[in-house]
Parts: sequence; C-alpha cells; structure tokens
Amino acid sequence: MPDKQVVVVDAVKHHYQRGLERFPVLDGVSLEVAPSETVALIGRSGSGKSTLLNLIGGLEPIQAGEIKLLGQAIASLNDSQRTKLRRQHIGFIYQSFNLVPTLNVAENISLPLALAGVPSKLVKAKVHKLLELVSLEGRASDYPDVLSGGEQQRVAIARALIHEPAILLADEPTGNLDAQSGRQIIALLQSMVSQNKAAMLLVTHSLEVASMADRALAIEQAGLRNLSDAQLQGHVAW
Amino acid sequence: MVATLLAKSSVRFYQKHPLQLLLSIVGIVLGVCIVSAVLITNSSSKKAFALSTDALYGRVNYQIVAPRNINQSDYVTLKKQFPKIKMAPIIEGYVSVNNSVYTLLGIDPFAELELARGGFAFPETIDTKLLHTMLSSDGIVLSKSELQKQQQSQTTTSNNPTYIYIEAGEASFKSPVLGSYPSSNALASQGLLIADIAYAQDLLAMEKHISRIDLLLSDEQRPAVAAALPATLKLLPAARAQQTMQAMTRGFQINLTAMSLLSLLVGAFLIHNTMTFAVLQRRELFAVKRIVGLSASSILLTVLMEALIISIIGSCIGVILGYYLSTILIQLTTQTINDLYFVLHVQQVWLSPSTIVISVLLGLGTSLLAASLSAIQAAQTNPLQARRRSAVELNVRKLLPALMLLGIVAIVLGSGIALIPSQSLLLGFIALMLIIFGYGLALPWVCLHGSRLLKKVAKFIGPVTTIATASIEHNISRTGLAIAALTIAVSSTFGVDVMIGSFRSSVDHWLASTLHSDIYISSPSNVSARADGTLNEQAIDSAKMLPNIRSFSFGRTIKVNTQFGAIDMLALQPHNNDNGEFPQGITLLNAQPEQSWQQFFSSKSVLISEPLANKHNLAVGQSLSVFTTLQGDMAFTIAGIYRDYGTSFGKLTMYREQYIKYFNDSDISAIGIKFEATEGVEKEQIVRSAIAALRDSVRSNNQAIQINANSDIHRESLAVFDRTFAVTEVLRWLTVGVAFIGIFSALLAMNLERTQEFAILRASGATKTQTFGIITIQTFLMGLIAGVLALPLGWIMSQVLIHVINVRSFGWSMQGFIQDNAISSTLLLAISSALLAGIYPAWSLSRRSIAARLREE
Repeated sequence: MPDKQVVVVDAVKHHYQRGLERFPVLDGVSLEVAPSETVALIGRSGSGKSTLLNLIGGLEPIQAGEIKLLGQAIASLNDSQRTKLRRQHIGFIYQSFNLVPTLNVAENISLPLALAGVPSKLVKAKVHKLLELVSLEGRASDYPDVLSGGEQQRVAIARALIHEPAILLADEPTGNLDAQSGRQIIALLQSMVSQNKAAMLLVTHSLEVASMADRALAIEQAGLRNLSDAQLQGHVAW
Repeated sequence: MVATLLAKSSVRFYQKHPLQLLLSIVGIVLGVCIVSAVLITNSSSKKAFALSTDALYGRVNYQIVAPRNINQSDYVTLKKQFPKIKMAPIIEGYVSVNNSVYTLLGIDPFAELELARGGFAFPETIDTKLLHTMLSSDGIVLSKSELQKQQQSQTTTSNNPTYIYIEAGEASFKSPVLGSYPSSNALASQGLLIADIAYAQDLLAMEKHISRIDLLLSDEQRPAVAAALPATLKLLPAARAQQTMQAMTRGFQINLTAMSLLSLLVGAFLIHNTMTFAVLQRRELFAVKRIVGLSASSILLTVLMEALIISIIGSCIGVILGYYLSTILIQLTTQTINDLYFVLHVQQVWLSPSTIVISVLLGLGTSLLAASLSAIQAAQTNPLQARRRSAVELNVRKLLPALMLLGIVAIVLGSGIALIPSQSLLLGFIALMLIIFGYGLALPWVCLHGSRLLKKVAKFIGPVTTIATASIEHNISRTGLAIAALTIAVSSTFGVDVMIGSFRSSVDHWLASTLHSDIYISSPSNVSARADGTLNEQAIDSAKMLPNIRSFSFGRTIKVNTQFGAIDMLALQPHNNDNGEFPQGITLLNAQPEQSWQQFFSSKSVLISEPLANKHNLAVGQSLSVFTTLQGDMAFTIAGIYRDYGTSFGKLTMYREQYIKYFNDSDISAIGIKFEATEGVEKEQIVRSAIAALRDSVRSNNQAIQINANSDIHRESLAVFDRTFAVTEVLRWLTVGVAFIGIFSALLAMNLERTQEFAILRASGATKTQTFGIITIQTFLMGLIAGVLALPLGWIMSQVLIHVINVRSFGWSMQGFIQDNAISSTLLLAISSALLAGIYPAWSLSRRSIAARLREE
C-alpha cells in the first residue's frame, strides 16, 4: 500500500554538473519509509545521502524520477506549496545544528510555528513543553553560541519537532558530537519520534547509530542497498 | 616566502570576492574623488586669480587710487614732479562681449614701455608696430588665444574678425580689432581686452579720468610720493588689492573644502565597513594562520598591505574622476564668484602635483586609519574563538560604551570650541567636525540599545519583524557602522537643508523689506555684484515724467577706500515719507533705530552692514575712516548696523546729501519709484504701464538702461542665491551617494554571510516573501534608525552652520528654522536609501537554492 507510506522515492536520478562534466550521485534510487519507522542511511562522503534528504525535503529540484510525501508528488508543487509542506510535515536536523544565531533558544524552537502564524500563546505552551523534554528549561533566553554542541542539537531537535511533522530528516545529527552526547541525542530523537509517531530518515557515518534504526540502507555507487544486522556488524564505518 | 604566501592568500580571497573588492575601492574612489574635485576647483580658481592679477599688475608694487576716478591731470602733475619714477596710468573696467564679461584695460603704451612691469599682457609682448597702431587708431588688442575664441564665435568665415561688439554701460560699440599679441600664458589673458587709454576712456565714458596709477617704487621713493599727493589721492601697496579680493572668496572655498571632507569622513565609514567584513569573513583563516605559527604582527601587516593596495588603486581612480568632477564644479563656483565677488575667468582646470599628492595622501591616510581597526581585530584573532561570531560581536559590544564616552567628550569639546567668541573659520569647522565625529562614535551604542527596544516591540508584531530587529542587534559591528555612515550623510543633508532654507527665507524676507520701491531704474552693469554705472539726465527725466508717482529714492553706488580696504558704498536718498516715519527698506539691527536714523540724516555718519560690523568688530558709535574726494580721509560715525545679505564683504550707506558734500558727486546709479493707486486702476497695472512707457521712451532715445519691477529683482536675486548653493547641492548628494554605497555594502556583506541562516529559515518553513520581508524590514528599520538619529545631528549641524560658520564666513546672522517638509524628506531619504540598498542582497538571496546554501556550511 504505497499511499500509506510517509515517503515514497521512486527511481530518482540526480547528478551535479561541474563545467561540462556530469557527476551522478543518485541513479534510479527507490525507497519507502512507513509511519513511525526509522531508516538509517549510511555511505561515504559525497555518496549522495544529503542530496537524497534535500530532494525529499523539497530543497532541491528533482531531475528524474518521483518523490511522494504523504501521497503528494513533490515535483508537482510550486515553491510556496513546497514551503507549506515543509512547514507542516517535515522537520530538519543538521550536523552543524543550523540554529539562527540572532534568535534565542525559545525563539529558535518556536520558529516553524511562528512562521506558520500560529498564535503566540499556543506556541509558548509548546515551546515550554519541548524545553522540558529536551532538558533545557533554564536556557530559553540563551543564544545558540553560548550552548554546547549537545545542547544546540537538542534545541535543533525541539525545533524540528515542534510542529509535529510526519517525517524527520536528520542529516548526521551526531556528526559534531562526542560518542556519549551522540548516543544521548539519538536516544532523545528516537523517544520523541516515537511519541510523535513520526517517521525518521537518518543520515549517519556511525554504524552504532545506524544499528539503532529499524532498518539501515547503504548508498553505494549511486544506488541503495539494504543492510542486514549482520552486514551492519561487518560493515566498515565511514 | 611567508610574505609571498600571505600575498597569494589575500589575492585569492579577493579573486573569490570581487564585489567586495569593488565596494572597497568604490568607497575610496568616491571619497577621494569629491575631495580632489574641490581641491582642484579651489586651486584652479586661485591659479586663475593669480594669473590674472599677474597679468594686470606684474612687478608693480604700489598704486595710487582716488575715491572715484583720478583726474588725468593729477597723473600729468605727478609725472612731472617725479620724472624718474616709473609709473603708468591705467583704466580698468568691465564690458560685455557676446554676453561674456571681459576686463577692459586702457594703457598708455609709452608709459608701459618705461615701466616694464613684466605682466603677461603688457607691451613687452606687444610688438612696436601694433603699439603704434594702438596710438593712432581706435580699437582693441587681444591675446592670440582670445582672438581664436572670437573667431570661433563669429559667424563670418573670415579668419581675422575686423570688429567685435562691445557693450559698455549704456552704450554699444563696434570696436575694430587692431591685432593680437602672443601670450606666453593663455590662461593669464583670458577675458582681457587691451586698448589705448584714450579709446578705453571713450568706451567706459571716463573722459579725462583714469582708474588708478600703477607704480614701481623703492622704499626710499615711497615717502616722497606719498607726501606729494593731494588729500584726494592715496598711495596703497598693490598687494593689498589682491589680498582683499582673495579674502572675499576664502570663506566660500573653505566651506567647499569642509563639505568635501565630510564626504571623505562618510567614505571612511564605508572603507572601515568593507575592510571589517573582509576580516570577519576570514576570521577562521586568520585563526588557522595563527595556529600554524604566523605572528599577530604579520597578520596586521597583511591586512594593512591589502588596505594600502586597495587605497592606492582607489585614490588614483578617485583623483582621475575628481579631475572630471572639477570641470563641473568649476563652472558652478566661477558663477558664484562672479555673482557675489568679482569677475574671474576660470576656463581651465588646473591640476597641480600638490593637489594630486594631497588627494592621494588623504585617501591613503583615511583608508589606512579606517582599516587599522580591522587589522588590529584580525591580528587579535583568537584561534579558539574564531568560529564564534558572537566572540567578535562581544568584543565590539565591549568597545561600544567606551566609544560612546569618547563620542560625548568629542561633542562637548566641539560645542565648547564652537562657543569660543572668535572669528576663526577653521576653529568653527574643527568644532563642527568634532561634533559630527563624536556623534558618529556614539551612534553604534545608541543603535544597539535602539534595536533592543525595537526587538521588544517587534515580538508583538511577528517572527519576521523579530528576526529582522534581532539581526540588527546581533550584527551591531556592521549594522552600527552602516547606520552611522547613513546617519552622518543624511544629517548633513538635513543640516545643510535647514541652513539653506533658513538662509533663503531670511534673504526672501530681507528682499521683501529692502525692495521698497515699485520699480527700479539703473544703468546696466556687466557684473551682477556691481551696479556702479551712472544714469544719464535723459533717463532720469524720462522717469520723472511717469504718471502716478508717489515718491522717488535715489542711489549712488561706488567703491570707497576705508581703513579696511575698498568697500561698496551706497549714497542713499530714501523715499520721502509723508507720515514722518523713518525710511523703510533698511532694517537696522541695533537698539534705538530712531536715534540711528536721526544721526544718519543730520551728521557726518554712515550706516554699516552686518557683515562689515561682524568682520571688523565694529559697533554703533565707533568711527570709520572713509577716503573722500574733497577732504581725503575722514572719520564717519557709525550711526547704525543694518541687515544686508547682498554682499558678504560688507557695505556702507551714507546719506546722499552728505555724500555730495564730501565726494562732490551728484550722479545717480539707480532710481526707485513708488506709485500710488488711482481710482479704478490697480497699482500692479500702473506699475506695468509705467515700465512699458519707460521702456518705449528709452528705446526711442536709444538708451540702454535697466528697468525692473520690484518682483523681477526679487526673483532674480533668489535665482542668484540658488546658483550660489548649486555646488553645495552637488556635494551633499555625492555624500549621500557615498553613504548609500556604505549601507549597500554593509547589507550585502551581512546578508551574504547570513546565507545559511536564511536557508535554515526557508527549510523551517519561511516563504520567499517572508525571507525577503526580513531583509526589507531590517533595511527599513536601519534606514528609520539612521533617519531619526540624523535629525538631532542635522539640527546641531545647522545651528553651527548658521550661528558659527555663516557668521564667521560671511558675517550674516539669521534665524534658523526647520522647513515644513524637511523632517519628512530626511526620513524618506534615509529609509529609501536603505531600502534601495537592500534590494540587491534580498534578490540575490532569494535566487539561490536552499540546498546549495545549506551545503555552504
């Protein structure tokens, strides 16, 4: 039942052009992510993991193939429709946290709802709840650059989940963190995703992180390959 | 090796950021362009003045002058008495050829040959045959370059125009061209016509009179000549006349220089802004360089070298553009000098090596000074904090209170200097610059707190406004500077606007109260600033025969010698007032004007204009020495001080009866006529009919006199006023241009650095309109802050300009007031400049792909 999937990626191709030369990064990639499912994507640097995430998030134009999010073909949407889709159904988390430096913690978390025009009273209540969940109650008025990496990523997670998205696109969320902070963040992510019944597509270099997902996929030679637990054990970490 | 690597690194950085390099250069180019243009304009005027005086005076070191003209017989007597002393009679007057004013010089060729003064235009360069022709035939001689000019303007195909048409006073002449002389310096002989003294007397209606006697005197000869002169003649050093003329324009030229330096100051903000951004962008790179072992001083030197190279390029282009700008400015300033001071022909831009050096050094100095703060910042880069933008901002914020305090000290110091009772224009400008500089230093602190306040308000409006206000506060190191540059530029337009508006309104009121007659009849004058011709009897009779006349006023304008040099004097016979009131048309500024008027009519006294009183600290009751025709130097009591915006060099007014008594001159230069309305005919109609009748009369008598309605003179005077400030207008708009580039580069830099931030916003659900809105609101608020902060500074500037600079430059006092639309147009200018500057960065950001921007992490 493909329509019940949160994300359907069908035979997507993508390349980058440098001068006259073409560099294919995705060549007929297909993927489905079900609600509440966590899928890990692993691969070498430059293999196309982030590109796939950006294509699903509507941040990059689709060159060939089709991507459906909640049954809607992204390619058929214009810029403002894609923006609306992101605002309502997608949450992003990045390796470098990407918090808005000019806004404090509470303001950063509230951003997706504020941009959507949700009344501030409602937003405040949600922000308060999320600050508790990510254990940053006392840091609401702090600015991002006074927080540690782990704290910044927790803010990013709260921001990604405040609008209760159907899917969370996490691009190496533990890449800038030490092992222990990384484990804490993944645990937090999984607990929050399961609370929100959201799906998660997680790009990572860490086999440990990948093994915590419901299933893991490897991007190799512009294609996707399922990895079993055994394969994961034997896989070389990138 | 290290130097080469550092140089390569710098070059590659700017290769990757060409727009930034361009903006850095543009900042310097504009600042230097404006300064060098004004320097070139001023030096060209001075050079033209020096050349023309050299052409006219040569080695002559003394001259004999009279209150009016010298009787030719006085020269003959003197020459007989001192046959060995080299002297020559001179006639000097202004005539019009093809609507251009020329100096007509009447010379005695034989006396000149003996005097051998060495001036460019004198018989040393005119061949003997031509000299003889001059003696035997009526006609004029001009330089080869002037002759070529005349040939070009003649419609005839002849290479040698036989005649030129000269208008002198009321008369027109078809004057034969006797020949030309080779001028070693074409500039010196611009606008100069030479004639034999007898022919010049005919042209200028100076029968048996000469303008002055030029002499070459030794120190031993001087006392004997001075003692031999009758009381009605005076021996003066020749240099004094030149100094007097130069002093007239000094204030005007200093004002222009100050305006140009203001542009450079605004340019300095721009340079600092772009250099700071270049440093901030590379803070991580500098950190890496520090880690691999580069010393802080090497980084400091690298940034300073970059600034030096950029400023050399910018300064050189600036001087070249300044040269071209000066060709426009020179026309405007020459017009003003001719309108207000004296006839000056400046047709060539004079680019001296010293002007180039000063302009380039000013550009280099300002750039290096502006870049030095950025260089120090770069050298102090802490490798551990390099990634943290907040660390940089934190350092800047720590500095802001100190800058604020320094700014307050500068403002207090500047205000103190402005209040010192002095005539020094330089001190006035130092005071003004200190106030502007101090205000500029205090601005970033004010902006920081202002934006915090705005942010609190913005929270109630929405996220877009919150982000916009927050970014102003967060990037205060750059937004503060951009706002400061725009504030100073806009405040200067507001300040100058208020000053010019107040001035114009004062002149307007003054003209309304001074021009009390309905029509004025005067002899034509070739120079706006001089109306010293003489009306002939026929013209006066024609005027007296007009119907419905209520009363007349008569004026005689001449130049008189006083202890302060040659000054314009008006011998006035005011209208008879039936009701016994004192004359209208002269506004006395001193207390007890009734007493002043009584003294003016009844005793040996004069009224002096406000500029004359201010320039020489003269007060009512003091005396002024005036060189009279009949009794030589005489002390006249100053009966009153009156408002006069006609000349900044000062003027005095004497009752005409007194004038006739001491100067033996009953001639009239101008008549004012008041009409009275009759039943059924409006006064306006009577005036128009009178003008028409008078014009018919003078035309039929072939007279050349000027007849103007009160309103015509009023209008023309305001037109001259507006022309005077044309150059100021050009300069202040250029200053706004520099500030515009400043805010544009700051916004561009800031928003390009925030590329990723905007991508995050887009990924988080912000629409294109919302991100565009953030930049637009941000630029709107920056413009609004700059506009609001510009108002107090502009007002302070206007007060200093009105009450300090104007009084010291020109001696005029006036009431300062803010015009109706001045505040709104200032705010509009600031906001529209900022919004305009924000369009490109906003457009540029909205075009780029979100994913690409996110990848730039």
